[in-house]
Amino acid sequence: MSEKDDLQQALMLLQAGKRKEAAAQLLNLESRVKDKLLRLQTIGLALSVLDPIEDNKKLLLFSEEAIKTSQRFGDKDWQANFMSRKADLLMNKISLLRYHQKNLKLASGWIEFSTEADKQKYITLTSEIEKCEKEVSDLLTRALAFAEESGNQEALGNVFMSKASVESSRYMQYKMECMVGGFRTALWANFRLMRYPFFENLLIFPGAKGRMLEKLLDESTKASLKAAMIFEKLNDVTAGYTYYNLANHLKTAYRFRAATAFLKKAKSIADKHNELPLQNNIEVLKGAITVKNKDIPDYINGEVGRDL
Amino acid sequence: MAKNKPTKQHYVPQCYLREFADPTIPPNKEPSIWIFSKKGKNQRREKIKNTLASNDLYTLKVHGQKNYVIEETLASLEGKYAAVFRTKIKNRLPLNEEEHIILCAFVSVMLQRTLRHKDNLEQFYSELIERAEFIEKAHNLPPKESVRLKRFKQDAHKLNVFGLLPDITELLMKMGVAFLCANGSAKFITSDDPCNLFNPDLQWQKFYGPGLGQKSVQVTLPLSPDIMLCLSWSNLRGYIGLGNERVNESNRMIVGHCYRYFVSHSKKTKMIWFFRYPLNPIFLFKVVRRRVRTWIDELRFRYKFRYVRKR
Repeated sequence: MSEKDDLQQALMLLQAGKRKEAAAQLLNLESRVKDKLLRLQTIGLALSVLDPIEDNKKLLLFSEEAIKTSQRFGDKDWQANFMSRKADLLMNKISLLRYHQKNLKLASGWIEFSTEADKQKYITLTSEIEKCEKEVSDLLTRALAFAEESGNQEALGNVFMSKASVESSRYMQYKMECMVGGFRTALWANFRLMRYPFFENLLIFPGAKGRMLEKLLDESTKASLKAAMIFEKLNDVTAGYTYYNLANHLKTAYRFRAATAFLKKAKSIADKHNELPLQNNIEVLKGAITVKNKDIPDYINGEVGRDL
Repeated sequence: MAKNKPTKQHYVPQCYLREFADPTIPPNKEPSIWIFSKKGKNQRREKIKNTLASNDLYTLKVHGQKNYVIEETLASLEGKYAAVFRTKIKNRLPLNEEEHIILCAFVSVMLQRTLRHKDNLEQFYSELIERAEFIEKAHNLPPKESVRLKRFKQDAHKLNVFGLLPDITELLMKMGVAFLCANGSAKFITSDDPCNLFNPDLQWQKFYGPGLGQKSVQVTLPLSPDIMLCLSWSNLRGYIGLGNERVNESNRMIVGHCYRYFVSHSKKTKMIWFFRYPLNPIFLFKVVRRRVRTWIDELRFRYKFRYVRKR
C-alpha cells in the first residue's frame, strides 16, 4: 500500500470514529513518510487525532516541524494553521506546568518553601510558564496576521478556533490560580450552587478577579463566534464543531443556558451536513449539561473520562 | 573518667526538649519543662536533663564491657539536627539537601528510639520466646531457639534504632515536607512518643495500622511550641501558618497518641486536648452514624445466630 493510501485509510478510520487505530496508523506513517507535502498532510491530520495531553510532546514537535516546512513552501495558510495549533498545544503544556507549580504552594497559609529543591523547582516552572505564555501570544499574533494576509477564510477560521481554545484554557488556569484556599475556596469546592455565575461573581471571585474571569470568558466566546461565522459562510461543518466546543467550554464555566443554546446551533449544522461523530458528541454533551456537571470524573484519583 | 560515661540516656533527646523549655525560667538556671500524665493529672516541672531518660537504654554489652557507640551516634545526629533547627527551621528558611537528610534521619530515629517502641518490640519477643519454650517442652528439645531469641531480645531495640535508619530515611526523603507554624496564641505540645503516624483513611477500623507507604499517611513531630513537622505524600509543602483551632486540634492528637506523658512549655492545659473526638459537628455526626450502624449490625448478627449455642 502506498503512503497516500495509508493516509487515506487513517482519515477513513477517523471518520468511522476509530480514533486509536487512526492514531496508530498515522504514527506509523509519520515515521516513514519522506515527501514534504505528504508529511505536512500527515502531521495536519495527526494534530487532530493524537491525544493533546498524552501525546503533547510529540504533537509540539510535529507542529514545529510543520511550521518550518510550510514556511519553506511559502504557504501562509498552512503556516497560520500550524502556528495556531501549536499555540493551542502549548496551552496544554502550560496547564500541566501550572498544576505542578500550584502544588508547591497549595496550602492556604503558605509562608515559605520548606526545601531548596522545592524552591528551585518553583523558579524553573515559573520561568518555563512565562516562556511558553510569551510564545503562545507571539504565535497567535503571527498566525492571525498570516491568515489575514493570505485572505484564506478557512485558515482565518481555524486561527480563531485555536484562539478561542487558548482563551478558554487561560480562563481555567486563572480560575485555578484564584483558588488560594480559605473560606471562599471551601465554599466553591463544597457547594455546587457557588459555582454558578451569580454566586461566583458575588461571593467567590468578587472585584478584579471576577472581572478578569469574565473578560477571559468573553474573549473565548467572541473568538469562537467569529470562527463559527466564518465557517457558516463557507458552509463548512467545522462551524458545528466550533459551536460544540463553545458549548462545552460554557458548560465547564457553569453557563448551562448559553451552552444549551450553542449546542442547538451545533446540532442543526451537524444534522444539515449529516455529520455522525459530531451528532454523537452533541448527545453526550447534552447529557452532561442535563446533569449539570455532576458526572465529571475524579481525574486526580485515576478516574478517566469518556473521551480517554 | 567514669563521670563522662553517658549512662543516663534520653529516649526523647535533650536538644529536642530544650525547645519546649519553660520560658519563664531565667537563662542562668537549668531549663525545665512541664510534664503531665496522659490524663492531664500529676503536672510537675522537671529539669530536662533528668526527664524522659533511662539508665543504659542504648548501651551495648560487648565482651562484658559497656559500649556507648549507639548513644554517641545518636548524640552526634542530635547535634546536627539542633544546628539545622536553630539556623534554618526556626528562621523559616528552606532546607538544602544535606539538611533535609539530617531532618529525615532524625525523624527516623525518633520513630524508633522511644520507650513505647522498646516495650512493643520486647513484648513481641516475649511472646515468641514463650511460644518457643512451649514447643521445646512439648517435643523434649533442648532450649536452643528460646535462648537464641532471649539473646536477640536483649539488644533488639538498641540495634533496631539504626538497623532501619537508611531505609526509613530514604522513604521519608521522598515525602513532602511541611512545617506547620502556630500563628496565634496557641502553641504546640509534645510527648514521650512525639513522632506519630496517622492515616485518616484508617481511623474507622481497628485492624490495620498506619504505615509509611500508605497514600494518606502523615508523619507528625512537634519541633517546638511554634513549629510542627508534617511529612506526607500529599501536596502539603512549605512553612504553613496555622490558627489556634488547628494547633489545639494537633495537640489533642498528640495527647491521644502519647505513651505515658505529654510535655508542654507552660503549666496551662486546654480541655479540648483530652477529648477523644475533634469538636467538629460533621465528624461527630459521622461517629454517631457509624456507632448506630455497628450497633444495628451487631443486633442483626445476634438475631441471625440466636440458636447457635455459646461455648
